[in-house]
Amino acid sequence: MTVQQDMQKALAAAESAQGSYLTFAGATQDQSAKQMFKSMADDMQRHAGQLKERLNYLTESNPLNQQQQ
Amino acid sequence: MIKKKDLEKALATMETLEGNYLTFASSTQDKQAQSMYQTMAKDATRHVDKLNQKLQQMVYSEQVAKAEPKPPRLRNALAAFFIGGFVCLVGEGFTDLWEVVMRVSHKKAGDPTVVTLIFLAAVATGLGWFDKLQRVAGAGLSVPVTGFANAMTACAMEFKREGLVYGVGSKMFQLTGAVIVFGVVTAMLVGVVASLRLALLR
Repeated sequence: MTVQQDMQKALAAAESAQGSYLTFAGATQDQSAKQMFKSMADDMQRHAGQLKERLNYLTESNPLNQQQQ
Repeated sequence: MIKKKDLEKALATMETLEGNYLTFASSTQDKQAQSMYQTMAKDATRHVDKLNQKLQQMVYSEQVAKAEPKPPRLRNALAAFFIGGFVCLVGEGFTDLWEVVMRVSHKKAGDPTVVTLIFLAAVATGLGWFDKLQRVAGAGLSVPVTGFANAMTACAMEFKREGLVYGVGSKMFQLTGAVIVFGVVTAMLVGVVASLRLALLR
């Protein structure tokens, strides 16, 4: 398995975690828990963005990756 | 409600992600990317901790709910039914008694009956018996007029130490005031409607 595939998996995991957190935030009545899940969802959104950026960067700059595709 | 299973799933995802980030960090030569992955791994660790905490809270409240004694609803309902019924029986007895003693109609004899029951309940409250009885009877004693008398007398007793006027006098109807106010208002409205009807029919 290539690093790229691993990263795509991680990206999917971060996105799914973001979704779960948002669901939790919507499902709880506890305001502080709601806030916590919202900020955790923001973290995951940031992670997904960073992973995407990194993936793009690797795809563009790494000739090996380009050849594999 | 957040489901425990979903929380466990999110926790597993986050643990995997933490591992992924650490692997990425160690497998890249790029210093900047390395520090980015390390920060992300730290975030993931923090999330794992928080999710674990939340999970523990849920497990704890589940255990509390399990350990909490359930109120004996059937027993309470039966006690309320029979004791409440007994109070009504006593009331009927008094109605029959006053009907004979005061030589009034059965309907009219209801008024002194209410007074008698209120008096008995107030005395029982003052002597401290009412609380003991109510512990067993529940709604059986608080739904009939005896509950009204108890609420009134208990308030009067509670505020005794604040003085006769400002304590007993003003706080006596703290709980039962609403009954009196809306009783009087409703009676007045009914009276107005009844007298209008009489005036129109004449």
